[in-house]
Amino acid sequence: MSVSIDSVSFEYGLGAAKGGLPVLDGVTLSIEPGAFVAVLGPSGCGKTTLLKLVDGLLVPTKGRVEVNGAPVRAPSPEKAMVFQHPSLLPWRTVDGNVAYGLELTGVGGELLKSRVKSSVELVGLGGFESYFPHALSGGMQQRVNIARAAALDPQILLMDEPFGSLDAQTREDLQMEFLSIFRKTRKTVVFVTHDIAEAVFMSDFVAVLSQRPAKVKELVKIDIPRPRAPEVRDSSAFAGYYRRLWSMLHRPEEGAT
Amino acid sequence: MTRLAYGVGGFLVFFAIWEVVADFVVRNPLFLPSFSSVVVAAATDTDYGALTSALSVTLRNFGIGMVIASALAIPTGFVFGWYRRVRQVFSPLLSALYAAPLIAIMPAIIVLFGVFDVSKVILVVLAAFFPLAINVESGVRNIDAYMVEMARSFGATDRQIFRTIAFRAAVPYTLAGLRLAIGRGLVFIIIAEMFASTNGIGYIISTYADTFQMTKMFVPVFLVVLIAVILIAAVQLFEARVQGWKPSNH
Repeated sequence: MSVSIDSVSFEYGLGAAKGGLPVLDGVTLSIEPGAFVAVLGPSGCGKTTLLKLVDGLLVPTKGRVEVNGAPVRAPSPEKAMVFQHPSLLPWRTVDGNVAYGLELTGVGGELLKSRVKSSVELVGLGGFESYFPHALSGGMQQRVNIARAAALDPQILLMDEPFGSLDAQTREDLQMEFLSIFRKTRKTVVFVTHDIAEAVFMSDFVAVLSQRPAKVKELVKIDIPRPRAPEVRDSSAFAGYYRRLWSMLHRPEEGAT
Repeated sequence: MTRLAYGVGGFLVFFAIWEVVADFVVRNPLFLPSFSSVVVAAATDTDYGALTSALSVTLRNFGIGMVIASALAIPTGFVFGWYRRVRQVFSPLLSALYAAPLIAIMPAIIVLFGVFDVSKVILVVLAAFFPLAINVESGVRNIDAYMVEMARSFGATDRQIFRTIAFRAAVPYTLAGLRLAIGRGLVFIIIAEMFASTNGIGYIISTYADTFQMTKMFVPVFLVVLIAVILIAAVQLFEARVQGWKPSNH
């Protein structure tokens, strides 16, 4: 499924007296079906807001968000969100948490069971089905978070810094695993991150956002063939992209301090 | 099991201090009989038939009151926790009523409803309602915003969020409120029976107190304490069952 973000602006309302806090200012981005697009930007620039607009959790103040040509008005099962915070229900087991999104959309019975099973296996949590979240490490909780979204078999995965709070090694492991999941399932992925290396390593395109209120500064195509092994990180192509994105993020912009 | 042993140990320390204070500090059984003399009275000089029938009256009124209080307070707590506007309007009132000295309005209740069971039940309801409602409310109000947003991203309706998150998240708060309500309800029914009644454990306590039979008076007091401990332990046991997912921090 394609995603089209067309001159989208968004303001958080701060009450009648104060007006709004502009977060996004005319963001335009077009995402092809099956593409992996990273959204890179300084923290607090509105990356998460952009993701929530695509999901339908928020509605743009101006502009349009379309999925397959139809305007997005609310969350729907063809899109699934993986949050930065795992947000697992502590009273449900791994299985119960993975089933949660399916249950909410009315899937039940055998279909629910088989989807949960394959999704748990997809993220490598086989054997942990009956564990409660408190017994899992941060990395494993994030796997449950991913499995919960993947269980819906969405066309579009919206990922909000899903590995941001993990240690470096777990993060790189999960990046690799997620790429192999991506190769198997071929979703359209919008992946928010502030980690340049993560953006280059994982995506086909990197959309660089400016400071708040954010616009898309540049859309960089990452021409590194897939599948990508960890050694890609040592290649000169990788280093070139990294430097280019780094300087874009750190370049002073007009009107900013 | 070791936790039980520690708990019993606490009681033993308390009884030992009591014994010492009664025998060597107060030295007047009219003010404070020693713990051992209470044990002797319980073993040799107690009419358990009368005590049992009084207890059954007290517990019946207490039980009816608790059931009514729960049936009113738990839904009230959910409504207050869920609807911000309702909470804004009524929450200060709820807190004020919780703090209001129930004892002061007890004479009015007894005038209105007589010295019969009805006024005892009403008092238990009033005593138990507020701690329970306030706890349920804070349980619902404090549900994790991240969880709610996650559920919304999966298209959850308000009703689904209520059923799958708010309802479940409020369980420990509800049970904590229930424990407070049990303690408060028991205290108030005993007081009510002491003031205006011809039956019940409170009535027996006040009869002994009025006739300066302090040693005998402590036997029904102990009985009430024992019942409170058992009821609260039952709630905790239930909590351990339904909250089994929780990491133990003991």
